[in-house]
Amino acid sequence: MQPFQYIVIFCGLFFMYVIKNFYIRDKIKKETYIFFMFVSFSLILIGIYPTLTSTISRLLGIGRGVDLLIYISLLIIFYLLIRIFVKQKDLEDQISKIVEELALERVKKK
Amino acid sequence: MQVPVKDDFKKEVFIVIPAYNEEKNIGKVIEDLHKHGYKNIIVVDDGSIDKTYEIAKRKGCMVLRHITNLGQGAALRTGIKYALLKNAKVIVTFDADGQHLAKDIENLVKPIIFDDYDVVLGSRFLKKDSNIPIIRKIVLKLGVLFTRLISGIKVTDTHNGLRALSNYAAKKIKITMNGMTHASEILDEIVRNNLKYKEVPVTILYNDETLKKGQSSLNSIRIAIKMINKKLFGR
Repeated sequence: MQPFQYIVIFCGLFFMYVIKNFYIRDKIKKETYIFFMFVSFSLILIGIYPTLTSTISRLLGIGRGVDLLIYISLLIIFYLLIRIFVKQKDLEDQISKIVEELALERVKKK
Repeated sequence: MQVPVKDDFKKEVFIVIPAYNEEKNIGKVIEDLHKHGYKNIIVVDDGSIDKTYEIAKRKGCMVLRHITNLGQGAALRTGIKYALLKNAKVIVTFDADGQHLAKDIENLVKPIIFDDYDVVLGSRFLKKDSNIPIIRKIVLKLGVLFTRLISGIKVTDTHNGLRALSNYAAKKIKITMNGMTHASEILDEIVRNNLKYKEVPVTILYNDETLKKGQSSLNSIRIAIKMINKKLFGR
């Protein structure tokens, strides 16, 4: 095994540890936990079998294994960004509702 | 038919003023409204960090306060909601920065009370005495063209905060945008709800302060993008 593989496996295990802790402390939802555990597990798998990405990329007609990883990462990041924007708008709407109701309640009391 | 007494209609008019850090202007704005016989004034302090709230309270207005700054659209939403709770027959939205003139309100309100209009919009382009800076004029004209394409509404001034809504229109119009996009959204809502509307000439006063605060060209592009998104993806 090459030194880089040990680093990748260690990173995967570390991410699993961090994500598990976040989940136990109720900082992330179950689906988020499962998703990132899957990503961490994939990282460990790539660390153990580094040629796996090259095999898959050849099947898909992409140049190198690393290119495949970059493309997949970009797609995942793009999707997560959209989710974050949607969530942000939801939170904004909720805050607005609270602030407005509070303003109305306070003036009604006077 | 009972002939309405001159100025009697003003009792039925509620003025909603969204205000954010307008301690320098809010007092004069309220005084101008009082001078013209408007007593039902609702000021919505949108999380100001100056004395806007205190000054408005001292002038005897109904003052609501947001604990944090949400944007003019949100402040209008709160003010209109409160006016409807007070059974306002006509609701006028009026800026807090002194750009609008109280004497223009009569022409906005009378078509609603006497001619059954649902919405009356103020337009600075129907009057020749507004000293609109040329760049601002170009941006606003482009805004008119854009609004015509997106909303299908024919107006000459798409970003004028001076407008009057009947009780019916105020209940029908749903403002969902907190920021400055609400102005375009209101026009969209007029079309969506098939409301009877017209434009009347109003004066917009420009000075260094109001020009600094006004819509930047970049912000106008942001508003345009938000309206396109709303059309494509709904609320």
